[in-house]
Amino acid sequence: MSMAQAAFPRIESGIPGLDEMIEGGFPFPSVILVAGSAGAGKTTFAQKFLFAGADKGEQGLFFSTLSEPAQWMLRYAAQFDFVKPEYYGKEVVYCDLGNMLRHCTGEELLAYIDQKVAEVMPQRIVIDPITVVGNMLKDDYRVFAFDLTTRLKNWQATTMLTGEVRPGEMYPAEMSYAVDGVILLMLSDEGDARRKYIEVLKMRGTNHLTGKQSVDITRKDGVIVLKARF
Amino acid sequence: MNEKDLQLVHSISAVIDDGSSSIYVLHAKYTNLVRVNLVLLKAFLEEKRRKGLMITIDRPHQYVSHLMQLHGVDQSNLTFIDAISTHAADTKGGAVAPEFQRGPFHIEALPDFLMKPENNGSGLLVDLSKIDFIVIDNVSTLLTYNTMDSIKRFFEKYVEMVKSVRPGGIQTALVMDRDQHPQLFEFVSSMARKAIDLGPDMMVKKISVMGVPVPVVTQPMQQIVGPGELGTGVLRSKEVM
Repeated sequence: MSMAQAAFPRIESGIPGLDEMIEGGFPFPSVILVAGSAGAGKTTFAQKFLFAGADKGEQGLFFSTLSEPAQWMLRYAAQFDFVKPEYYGKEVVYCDLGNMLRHCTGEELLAYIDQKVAEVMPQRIVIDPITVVGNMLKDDYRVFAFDLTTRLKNWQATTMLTGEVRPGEMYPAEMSYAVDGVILLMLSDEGDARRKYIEVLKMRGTNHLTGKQSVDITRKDGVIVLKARF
Repeated sequence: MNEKDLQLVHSISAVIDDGSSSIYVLHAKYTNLVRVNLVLLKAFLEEKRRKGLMITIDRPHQYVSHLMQLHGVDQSNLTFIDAISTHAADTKGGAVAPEFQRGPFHIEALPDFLMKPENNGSGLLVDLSKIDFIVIDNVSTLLTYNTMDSIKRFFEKYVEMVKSVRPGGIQTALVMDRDQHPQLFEFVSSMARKAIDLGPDMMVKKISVMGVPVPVVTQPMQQIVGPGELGTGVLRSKEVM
């Protein structure tokens, strides 16, 4: 193993049980896509990623593309024990892209994200959900995805993009080619129950665990991996 | 920049010597390297009013330039040498800098490139005789592209270069995460006059001069920055005082 391999920098995901599946954490810097259907826990996953970083003194930046007032998002997030209101606006900065998305070009959006990232200097970034950008941008979404991921990595941060999947779709293909990691959050009908699973589909530079692992969502920790076969 | 960063600007400024070819090595967590480099540039350019050169290996120079612009750090006395742009496939525009066309793979050739800027073909000259300090962003990344031996050879040539280029020499600041690359950190530290340890909270925890620890004395921020006082650098180690 070379020195560069031995010292491949990683940051802890903040998701109990996940780091053991990915050699200790997400590569730093990198862009990770967390894909799943509605209710799979994507936003909770992303919030935990930011707040776990804040606990370690790392700066977080959350871009919301939903045009949902921060008030409502934070009201739901506040139900989790790991969400600490004292971090709002300081260690975890929220930024609404929703209004801008209605009338901007991809280049304008990139410039705005660039400016905000340079201003806040985060180590952890979330864009939730990225798929809305694809629906609203008139430009070539693949070009935008490439430029976005390149710039985010050069800003020296680990970025989590959440992606809503359509029925029958495994992950948003337009974005998956440009990212360093793809994590699936899945819901599965099993008898009378609807169970949740996680699968690490891709994690560059990482000998990751493959296959589905059970997850749960708790008020204390958010998304937790229940059963990892190590 | 927040208050902590500004405090660090003062701390670092106070540790920088006048008129020598010292190498400074700063230990910081790898997640803070960008922030610490920005702080360093502000300390050298604004507090010490030096002229500098930044060699970018980790990311295209436009990112550093953009960051400085947004945080109001004057870059009129800073020149960039970009060793990564040709491999970055990046569409980000911005300032123009001479490119080290051989990229980060042939780092041993960089001192020769710097000494003979007229040969680089970019048409943009770097006059080392007018440079007071050099910051490399960042040393650890060299290990991705080079062997440890070639990095050692680079530094040997580099040290000769900065000593020879002008009376008083050129100061060099290198930020690294010691825990990430202990062997490289140890090698770089062996060449450094001063080593500065930064905690995860971006505060100076320890200063060593030629391997000997000296006490770190800090003062509250309000005593450091008064009206018109930015640049006085009151936050000092006893060694400097």
